[in-house]
Amino acid sequence: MTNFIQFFKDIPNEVTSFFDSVAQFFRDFYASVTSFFDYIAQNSEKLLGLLGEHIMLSVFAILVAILIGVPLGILVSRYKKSNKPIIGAANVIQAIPSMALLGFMIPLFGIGAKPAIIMVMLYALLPIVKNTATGLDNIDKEILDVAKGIGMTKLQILFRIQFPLALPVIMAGVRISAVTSVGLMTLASYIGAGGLGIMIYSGVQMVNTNMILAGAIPSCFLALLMDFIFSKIEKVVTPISMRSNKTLPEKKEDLDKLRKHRKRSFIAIGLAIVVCIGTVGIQALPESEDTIVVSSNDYAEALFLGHVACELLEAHTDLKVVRNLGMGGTLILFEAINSGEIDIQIEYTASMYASVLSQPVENVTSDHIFKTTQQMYKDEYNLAVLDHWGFNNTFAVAVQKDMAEQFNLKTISDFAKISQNYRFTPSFQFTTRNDGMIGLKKAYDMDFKEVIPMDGGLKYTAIDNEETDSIIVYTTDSKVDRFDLVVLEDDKEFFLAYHTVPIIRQEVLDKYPEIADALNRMAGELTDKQMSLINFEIEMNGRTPEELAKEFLLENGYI
Amino acid sequence: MIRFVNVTKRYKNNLVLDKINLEIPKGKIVVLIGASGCGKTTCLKMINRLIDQSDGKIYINNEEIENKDPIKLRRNIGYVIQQVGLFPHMTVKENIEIIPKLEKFDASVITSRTEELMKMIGLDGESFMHRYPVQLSGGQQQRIGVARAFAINAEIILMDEPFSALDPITRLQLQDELMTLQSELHRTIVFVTHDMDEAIRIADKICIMNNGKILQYDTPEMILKHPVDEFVKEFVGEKRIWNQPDMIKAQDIMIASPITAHGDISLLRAVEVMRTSKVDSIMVIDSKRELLGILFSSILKKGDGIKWEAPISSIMRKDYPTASLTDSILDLLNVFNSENVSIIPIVDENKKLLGLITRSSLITTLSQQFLVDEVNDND
Repeated sequence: MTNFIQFFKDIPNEVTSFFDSVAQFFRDFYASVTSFFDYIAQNSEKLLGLLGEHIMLSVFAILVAILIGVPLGILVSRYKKSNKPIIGAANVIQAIPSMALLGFMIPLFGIGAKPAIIMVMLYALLPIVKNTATGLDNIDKEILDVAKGIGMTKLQILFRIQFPLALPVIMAGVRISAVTSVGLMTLASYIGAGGLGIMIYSGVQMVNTNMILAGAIPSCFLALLMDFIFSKIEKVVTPISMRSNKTLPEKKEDLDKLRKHRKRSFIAIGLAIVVCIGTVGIQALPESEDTIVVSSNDYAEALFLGHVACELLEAHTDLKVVRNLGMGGTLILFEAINSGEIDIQIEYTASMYASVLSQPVENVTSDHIFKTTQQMYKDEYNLAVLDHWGFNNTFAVAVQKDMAEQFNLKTISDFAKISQNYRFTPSFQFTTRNDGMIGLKKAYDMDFKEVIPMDGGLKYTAIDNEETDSIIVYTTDSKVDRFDLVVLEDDKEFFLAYHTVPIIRQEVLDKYPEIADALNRMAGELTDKQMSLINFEIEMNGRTPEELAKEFLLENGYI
Repeated sequence: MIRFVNVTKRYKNNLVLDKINLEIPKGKIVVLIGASGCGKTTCLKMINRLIDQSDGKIYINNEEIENKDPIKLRRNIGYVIQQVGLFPHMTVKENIEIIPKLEKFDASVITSRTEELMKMIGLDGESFMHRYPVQLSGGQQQRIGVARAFAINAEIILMDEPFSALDPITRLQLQDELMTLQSELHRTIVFVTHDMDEAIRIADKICIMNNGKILQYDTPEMILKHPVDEFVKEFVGEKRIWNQPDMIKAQDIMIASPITAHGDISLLRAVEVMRTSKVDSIMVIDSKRELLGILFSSILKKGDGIKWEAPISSIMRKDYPTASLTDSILDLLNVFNSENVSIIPIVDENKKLLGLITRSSLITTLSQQFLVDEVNDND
């Protein structure tokens, strides 16, 4: 009985606490929304630029897809034998993971807008080809028969009869493609084509929710907008007499009004297409003579270093610098500089040594790594490696503080004794590298219960949510402190030294030797601690790598 | 005009047309008719080369069409198909003018021609030209289809069951309009249908087909009256003729060998002939079988004054109506009613006796259609 009474007594408390938590939720929500909008406001200019880039890339990809897909569709509908190979190929392309397709693109088309547009275009192809073929096939056979019977040529039938009648169906296909393209185009940032993907993937790397949302929300809205615009276009291209929504007016003037409206819309669409092609075309014009393209990886530190290099070049040379920063990975960057798409990149010595050159990783000193890399890059690829900038951003293994205390973990050797019972989360790259997991397991004779690879900042989120027990971190990473992790000492000195070096195409360096002078101003200047602080500024205080780079260089008198 | 010579069409092992020989005269309407699958549409589509023959030759104006560019050939041949032949995304005007425009005719010529055609098919250009096919009734749509076929001044017009999807009343109207158009324009029209009534109504000649062969190719009248075989008879229908009573002629129903007598025989003998032949009248003729008069048995009712020995030429009736071989059953009925006679002799222009129609023989003929019914009902 007393319990019963107590229960009722508790109700008000329970209710209050429930409402408290609801209120708290809304307060938190409000706070995050405000901070999100603050972020947008602060970065509006950059965002608009990326948005514009994203729209141009997507629209261009769709246009190319239409130009290729529609003729293919016509082919499929006209020659039934071509159906299987063409639709089959389009289906296969559709089944290839987008990242893999992007990977295929790089050796073939290099980096930048071209491969991104081609990749997205290939995905956009299937709905357009299918709908074109379906649209053309589903026209009443009697109508085609009569068109032929009254003496129209095949082309006249195609353009005057089949095409106008199939256009709504074709446009429905284009509409599907357009929406997919906007989403897929976020991958373009991996290969330096820009777009909203830069915000999303850099945001993921930096665990900056506002940044992710600032990329993701506009790209969602853009997809919705595309859908809306194309639904309008779909309606416009539907012949007046085949619009099902309302009955047609009988008066000549009213019908003429409809026809005029349709004609005007067609002209407007045509103009929009011309503008898009024009804009992309202008952007695609070859860069002027004295232009240097600089690139880097897509995480905070790499972006910062890229900007440092650019600022130095702008301050101390007369070259026009193009910042094509934030590309997805060492190998992509290597491909890019090798093919001449970029002129300068910022890279880490051990990445080059192990990933690009595939050199043996056992018992090597940092000096050996640097010298070997410099030599081999020069001899084999005609690339100049300048002096390194000081700090060593190598790998480290980190675990939750609780776990470190519980098992008294100080070194990786300590962890190796129990690691077979725990999960481990490296980056995807780490799992495939000689200086990564394969070597680590061997050096410490350790194994894991499960390996769950994840990229960028997601590792931290995963360990924070106890979805993994140990992760690979970088020594200059600010997130280690942020997520209260314990870095285990590399007591067997397994991890290679990752010093930052600028790499320049030798021919560019020969032409502009001043580049080396400008970039060497940073030689040996940065410490681990400094780098970690800068990372903290970017990731925790939402500063942009660009402004930090400028600030750092100015404050220390490098520019 | 159009000539099929031993035309054969095979789809793999399936023989669709078997050595067709057919001549379609200029300016006439020829109707191809038969059950579905008989090859009539295949024949039609061969004329504008929508289908090419496997064997044999087709000539238009003595030119082999195989040697002609199909596009050019088709642009000189009007083509009307069933129901949906209009392009749905084009206005009435655009539909009619498509080929003239592709042929780059003079714009003013095209416009005036279109207006003229709209008048001919009985649609008001002002209120219809700018409309779309969906805004028209089935009959109106098909009128536009017909107009389009006439728009190019084609000598030949092919019509593939053009009216079969329309309701019966509209169908009749369109058939009439087609006849009106044809009476003005005199095109060579090849018309495919499966409707015998339609064929009889519009055709100059009907070509009945079955299993890829022509069974009979003749005027509607001949086909109705003299079907070549049981199949045609059945296809045409035994009673069909009664829908066309003007096609039933005196020669079809007359008694071909009436009882006759020369004018110089005596009444006594003539009465004897009537009695043995069980007739109540005798045709009095001369040696050239020319009709002189009719002796009716009613003359005997006069009683005492009968001159038994007098030659019948002196007592026969001389004022009576006659009819010719080609007078139709309707004409005969008119004569029976207006003249109040019981027999009508059929004579030629020289008054030579050819046959005889009696009221009772007419009743016998007319009752056939009902008797056929009864027989059929009993089946």
